[in-house]
Amino acid sequence: MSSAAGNRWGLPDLGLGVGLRPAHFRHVVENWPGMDWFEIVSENFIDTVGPPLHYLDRIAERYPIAMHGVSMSLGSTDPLDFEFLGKIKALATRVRAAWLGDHVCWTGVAGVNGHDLYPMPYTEQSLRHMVARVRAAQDFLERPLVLENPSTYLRFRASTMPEEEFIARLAEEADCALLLDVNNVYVTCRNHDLDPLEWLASVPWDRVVQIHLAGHTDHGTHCIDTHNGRVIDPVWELYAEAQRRRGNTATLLEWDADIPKFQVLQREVARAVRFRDARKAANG
Amino acid sequence: MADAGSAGLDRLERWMLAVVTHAGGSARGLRHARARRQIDVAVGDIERVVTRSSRLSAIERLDIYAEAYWLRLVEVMANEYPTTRDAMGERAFDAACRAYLARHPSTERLLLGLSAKFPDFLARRLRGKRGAALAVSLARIERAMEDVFDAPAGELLSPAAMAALPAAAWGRMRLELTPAMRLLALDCDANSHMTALRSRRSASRPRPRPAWVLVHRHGLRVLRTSLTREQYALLRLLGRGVPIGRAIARSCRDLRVSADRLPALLSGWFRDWAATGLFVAARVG
Repeated sequence: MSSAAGNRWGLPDLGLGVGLRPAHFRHVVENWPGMDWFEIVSENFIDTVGPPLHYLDRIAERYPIAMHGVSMSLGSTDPLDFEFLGKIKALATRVRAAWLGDHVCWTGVAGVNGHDLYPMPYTEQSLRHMVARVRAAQDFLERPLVLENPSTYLRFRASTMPEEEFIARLAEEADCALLLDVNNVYVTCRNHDLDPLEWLASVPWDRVVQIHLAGHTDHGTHCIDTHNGRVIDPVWELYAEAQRRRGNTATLLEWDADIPKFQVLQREVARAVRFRDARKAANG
Repeated sequence: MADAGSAGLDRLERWMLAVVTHAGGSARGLRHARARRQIDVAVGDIERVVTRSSRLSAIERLDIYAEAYWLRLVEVMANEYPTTRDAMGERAFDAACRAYLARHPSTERLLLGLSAKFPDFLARRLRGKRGAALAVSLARIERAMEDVFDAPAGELLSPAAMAALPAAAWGRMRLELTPAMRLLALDCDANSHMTALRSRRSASRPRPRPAWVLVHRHGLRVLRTSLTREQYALLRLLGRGVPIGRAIARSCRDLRVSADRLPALLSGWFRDWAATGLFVAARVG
């Protein structure tokens, strides 16, 4: 783990990690494989005291853990769920989470949860709404949130600014950190006929503390963020660009469907090594 | 009702959720009153709310979210009820899940309780139909397995600690059962059927008849145990805090076993239950 943070909170570069999934719990605790760190889906360890928490406790003793959630619904117009945030906070304390976060999205409204990462209309009103909620959540959690750009499949006519501008302004005005998912940048740009390099040009790099890599499914007419395979070359190119702009950053591979053996994940995330130190090399 | 182009955040969110969670798909969702109360827009005018891409129309883009909603939640239920799904067949199970989700949309942050009411829903939906007893019984077992997987187990009372309890006080003693436990009274022997299927043995469909099952977690393992009527009744009474002596008297009065063999039989039951972590505390009085 490097302490050369390069972000305004001094959060460390944890190195290369993978998403911790139930299919690999036993392999990890029986073999303690080489891996710099793990990311967990926070919701998988809340309201349970069964086997998942048992394994997580053991793994958290040996590896840094970052928490990544899917249910804070920070863009929703429903009230913030402080009971749920309390559970997130308790879990973060329990596993000594390096950081915790969620997505720039909403997941439900009017008391109904769609369990998906729904896109925001990128308007001034939405921005004000989300800034206030991110600030409130951060105050309650007593730490910065690390928010991820989601993959999106539609755009609201009401939007008055590009997604990347919305996210950059949200990060500045709510004073939160960012998780840059380069696969999501690729998927979103494919779905909205955008240039991913232009998207990256708007990123406030001093707020990026983590990068996600993942595979997706290309349907020809659109891409879906399925996390079911290897990272394709154009996404690696975006990762290389991010490393050039940001410098070494905690990097995590997500693989959530058709999950292979752990060794496959190890080999896939290790491919990121060749892009590390790119900034140093570029600066001579 | 807001103008489509200038609808505020709240209306847009309510509108989109109503559209993409409609059981009939996005186009029908648009026409439903729940969506029209927020934004009244026809399919032909949908681009006033959602833009098209170079390759997809606005309604096709909404359909991506609509399809994902049903696929994701039905997949969650298929993972929770694999044997029920096998017994019902994929199409019937899928249809039952969609009907259930339309009636009981998720209102929680977590997916843990999403299908909590599914066994009862299935019992109503399949009432009087062939194979209902097996499908519903399997669903009840699989629901219980999900519940105990996540439940707290409590500090276990070991067999040694059980044996050390004063024998003279046994009759008046109350046993506390692990919270990670469910007792099921079923309409067929679905437990044996599930065991056969899981061990890849062929199994004929059990005929309807009363059957009883204990589902509980011991350490990291979820156990399923078929019970006799008397064992089920005894555990139910113990779980309600009835003293052991009275619980045995009430549950075992019809047991067809000679009086001299009864103590050994009961001792075996309690020994097995203690060995698999069913008891967490004992107290006298």
